[in-house]
Amino acid sequence: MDPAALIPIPDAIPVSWWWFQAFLLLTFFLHLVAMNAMLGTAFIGLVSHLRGTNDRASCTEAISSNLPFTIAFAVNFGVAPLLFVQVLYGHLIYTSSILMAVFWLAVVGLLIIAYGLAYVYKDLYPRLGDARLAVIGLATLLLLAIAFIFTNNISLMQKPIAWDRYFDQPRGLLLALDDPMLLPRYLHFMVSSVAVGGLAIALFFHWRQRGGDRNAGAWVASGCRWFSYATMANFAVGFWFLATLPKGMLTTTIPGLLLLATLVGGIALSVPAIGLGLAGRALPALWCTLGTIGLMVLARSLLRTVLLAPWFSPAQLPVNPSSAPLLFFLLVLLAGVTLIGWMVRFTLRSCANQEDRP
Amino acid sequence: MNYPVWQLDAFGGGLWIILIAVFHVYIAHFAVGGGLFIAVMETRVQRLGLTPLKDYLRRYAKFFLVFTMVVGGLTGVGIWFSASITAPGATSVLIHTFVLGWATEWTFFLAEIVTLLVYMRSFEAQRSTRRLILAWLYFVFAFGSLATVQGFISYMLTPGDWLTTQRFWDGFFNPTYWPGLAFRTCVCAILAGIFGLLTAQGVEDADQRKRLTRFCALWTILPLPLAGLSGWWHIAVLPPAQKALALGGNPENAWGMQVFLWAGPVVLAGAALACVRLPRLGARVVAVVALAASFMFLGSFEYMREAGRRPFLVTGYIYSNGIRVSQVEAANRDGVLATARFSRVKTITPENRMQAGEELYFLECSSCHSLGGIMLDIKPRSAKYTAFGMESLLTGLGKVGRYMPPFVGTQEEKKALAAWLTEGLHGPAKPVAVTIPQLPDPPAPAFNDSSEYVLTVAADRGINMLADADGRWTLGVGPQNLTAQLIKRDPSPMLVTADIQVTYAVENGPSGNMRPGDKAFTAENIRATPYAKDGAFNPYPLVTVQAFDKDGKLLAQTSAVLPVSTELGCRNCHGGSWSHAVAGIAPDTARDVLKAHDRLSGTTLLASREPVNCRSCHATGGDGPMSLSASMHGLHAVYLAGRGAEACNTCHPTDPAGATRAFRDPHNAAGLDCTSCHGALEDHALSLLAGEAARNSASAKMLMALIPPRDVPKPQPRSPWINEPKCVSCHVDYGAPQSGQSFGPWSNGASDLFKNKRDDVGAMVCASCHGSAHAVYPANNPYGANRDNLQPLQYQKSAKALGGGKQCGVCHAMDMDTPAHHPGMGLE
Repeated sequence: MDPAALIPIPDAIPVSWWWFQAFLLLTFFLHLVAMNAMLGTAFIGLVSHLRGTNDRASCTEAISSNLPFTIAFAVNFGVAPLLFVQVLYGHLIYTSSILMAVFWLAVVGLLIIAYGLAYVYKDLYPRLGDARLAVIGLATLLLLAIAFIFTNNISLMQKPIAWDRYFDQPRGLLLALDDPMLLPRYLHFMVSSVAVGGLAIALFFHWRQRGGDRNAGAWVASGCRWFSYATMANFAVGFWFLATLPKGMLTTTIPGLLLLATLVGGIALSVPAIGLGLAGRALPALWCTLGTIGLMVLARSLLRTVLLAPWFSPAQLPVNPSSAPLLFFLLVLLAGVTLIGWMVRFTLRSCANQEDRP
Repeated sequence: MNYPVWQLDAFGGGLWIILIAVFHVYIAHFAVGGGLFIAVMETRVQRLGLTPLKDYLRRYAKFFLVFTMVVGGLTGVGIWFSASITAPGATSVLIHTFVLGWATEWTFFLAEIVTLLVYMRSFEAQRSTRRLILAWLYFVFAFGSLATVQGFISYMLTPGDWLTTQRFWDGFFNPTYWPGLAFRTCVCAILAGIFGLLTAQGVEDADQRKRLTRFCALWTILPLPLAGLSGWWHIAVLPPAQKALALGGNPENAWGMQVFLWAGPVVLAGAALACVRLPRLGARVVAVVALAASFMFLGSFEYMREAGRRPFLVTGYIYSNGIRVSQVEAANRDGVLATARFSRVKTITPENRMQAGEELYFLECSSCHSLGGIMLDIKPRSAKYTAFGMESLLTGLGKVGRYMPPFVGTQEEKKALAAWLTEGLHGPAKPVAVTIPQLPDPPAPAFNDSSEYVLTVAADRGINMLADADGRWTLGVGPQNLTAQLIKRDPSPMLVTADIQVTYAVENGPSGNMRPGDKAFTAENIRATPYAKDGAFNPYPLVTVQAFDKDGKLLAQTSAVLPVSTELGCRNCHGGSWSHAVAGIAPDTARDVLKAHDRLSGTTLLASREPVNCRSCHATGGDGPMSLSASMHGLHAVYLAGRGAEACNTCHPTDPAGATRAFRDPHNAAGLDCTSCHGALEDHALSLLAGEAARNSASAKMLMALIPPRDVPKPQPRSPWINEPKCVSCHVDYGAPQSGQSFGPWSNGASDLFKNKRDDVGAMVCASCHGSAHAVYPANNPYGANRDNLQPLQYQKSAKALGGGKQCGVCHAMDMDTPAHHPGMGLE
């Protein structure tokens, strides 16, 4: 069956697709940072409990107190790119979501449970004792499962050639398991989560250290080690991922060449980040890492462009021009961000003042 | 048709989105109302110095944070997830039309989260003014979120000018935007008050607890009247059809309004009761009851809003099953399966018919129906239908009742879907074996040249339906009439009635005297039955008619059939089996007919203890509802449209494979069928409805709008049983037929009917010489070839019209050369 015959007809968008592409990249970047911090810290917390020594308590306690907070932002920052991906690729992602509907819908339940467990982990941390391992372990497993489902959906969405499997399995039980890119892609995200999680821990204790916490230094170093080693491991996974891409893809088209360039840029930035991490310099490592993440988000978008090139490009979307709502959104966003900035600033100050107190 | 369908059985029918939406909608309203409650409480705590309540406020806010962010926030995301997989087409419309609105709402959502987290953290600090600002900011963001989402939700119900302009603001500020926002704002406050009632019981200080309880009760009580008013406003701005649905005009959703009307007062009572000095436990119980009632209050409102939107997801734009209105024409022409992207079957063959039907079910029905689940389970709903009945239902879907979308697709697809919904789900149909016995001819009374009299008799209706219907209802057409004429043979024959007594006796049935009239005798309301004493079905019992002089001397005797059949095909669509093997309306069928009437017309006939006489309301020419004929044909034409005589045979006992086969005259053998004279059902119904419309019947006009004419652009109005097809329309000047269609020119009043009309000399009734309508000589009766031709065989030994074939001597006792009765008697 011709896969093109299966691709639904998309609806019109109100302004040029570039707006949405820009919003998508920006908000996905934010989501990725928050999601990596969430999953990575949860994973490190789990490993810490598995190691089982009491001297790790301050780290896991810090993770417990911040995990619901990071989930909240990972979810919120996930909503926006999901919105924009629906605008640009809705006809594709709706289809892939239906093909794997059971798993896709399960995300909601799994996330509610994971979120709830995060609050249990936080609010009952002192009382949980040995049960902490089970609570954070289950939460981490659920978050890993959710990530696996998301990776499957995006893989399936980008592969209309696999959609005819629906005719044999219309009950929403399909996954993209036969996609050679799936596993390295998933692991690439997960290992990078561990790296960013480590960096988040390092930064948390970095600020604690600046606030006068004399024990924080060890955790800065520990977090940095997690970051650097995980990033190194991710090189291997990344090259595995690269090897699974369709042959010649990176060198035969302009988006392919751009993808190659962003990958090289990302790798180039991550090398010093590893070094900075090994040196325990969390803040400079953060800037390099944010740069790497930014380039990887771009690379991911270019990869999608290349993979979907035979079938679809957002530039093909019809436009039903309507610019007033865009202006309204930008005004509300500006006002919102300003107020959020004000709130974050005085909260950080308040935290600093508390730290300053004897 | 654009997207694949997530094929679910028991868990289908939109169950997932409802499960998620029910909780999200409730929590989302609580998130707004609770935000206002926190802001007001924060203000009170700080301005009035209610420091002991700070801990209460903190606990409330903590619960609020976890509840709204974890369950509320994620179920909100869940609605997106579930909507995109169960209604991708509509979700795509919502997303693409309002993407920048959604993005705005996301901004509010982000700001809500940040504000709430910062607010919670601010409890640890001393800056109370900042906390106050944060509390109010949270409410502003939460309300902004509500005000934005309200635009999208109300757009789906009343898209207003958007349907033509496709402009963002036209869709957003649609007719129900403001009333809906007003109502939801009130509900938000009510929910916050109820949660306050519940949580206030946790305050240890009794005095504070009571004061807080009273405060929360006021929160609950004060917005309720405003909620009622805005709810009324909301309904008032709806278009009439939507208003009817929202008010429970469809029995499927009528309970929603009932729940709404009950839940509001319960909330009010709960709040009022909480003001009374109740013990703590009692107050908690009252708060929980009020909480449950508030859930029902909001839930029923949302249910009615959804119901008002039926059969659309976006009114006027996209149907509940995801088929866009703009796609219907092409899909009807080319087929849904050919148009749908994810359909395996593209062309229906006898081999893949069931598979095609199943695919069509998932494409067109599964968005609302489940297979064995709790959401409008299709199995019990389809169980009563035959494939034919289901096909008819699909034909009329979305027309009379607006709750469901119309069937979209070709005739072939409709048949395939009907077959799968019936035979596919419930097993192959069990055909009813009809064996028709050949009854012996009665001995013909003697007749020869010396006989003085010729006695003719004919039933008024050659096809006669008796609705036994388990004694639950009657159509009032079963009793038959007989018309007899006694001719004194002579070169100038006389029709005699004076000093003559004519009697009738129906085989295994009633007997009596016929009433003399104008050159004829009549007997009315003869209640015959097609059931013989041994239970056998015989729709053609014989009636023996005898004429006596004043001395009781038998002058003449003859026989005819008195047609009466209970083979009314109601069961074809209303379910049930035959009550008497091959005919008869079974109790199940009879009940379903009343149930359908109650559902469509808002009556309570099913609950009636007395048998329902349909004509008691549906009288011909009355001031009340339409005549029975106009109602029956008008309504059923919507469902049986697109067919020929098969449509007639569905209800009438004229099915060529049935047990009556009532169309017995030579027109049948000549290849004509019911529609040749009566028109296709649509035209037939339209002529009756046009007659009712002339009397300004709104129902008739409504039905006429649903029935497209078939062969006659504008059927002429007529009255049932009075204005009927005329023989001379085809048999011009009583000659050989000049066409095979006589629909249109109607008989001019009752005297012009075949059963009443006299010949050119004003003597003989048409039926006296030709036999009953639909069984004119030579008729072919399935229960015995001669059974309908007894009189011509008795008088002239040939099954022609009396006097036909130049046998004028039957009455004139001699040959004649002038066709005095009417031209074309074969004498020219």
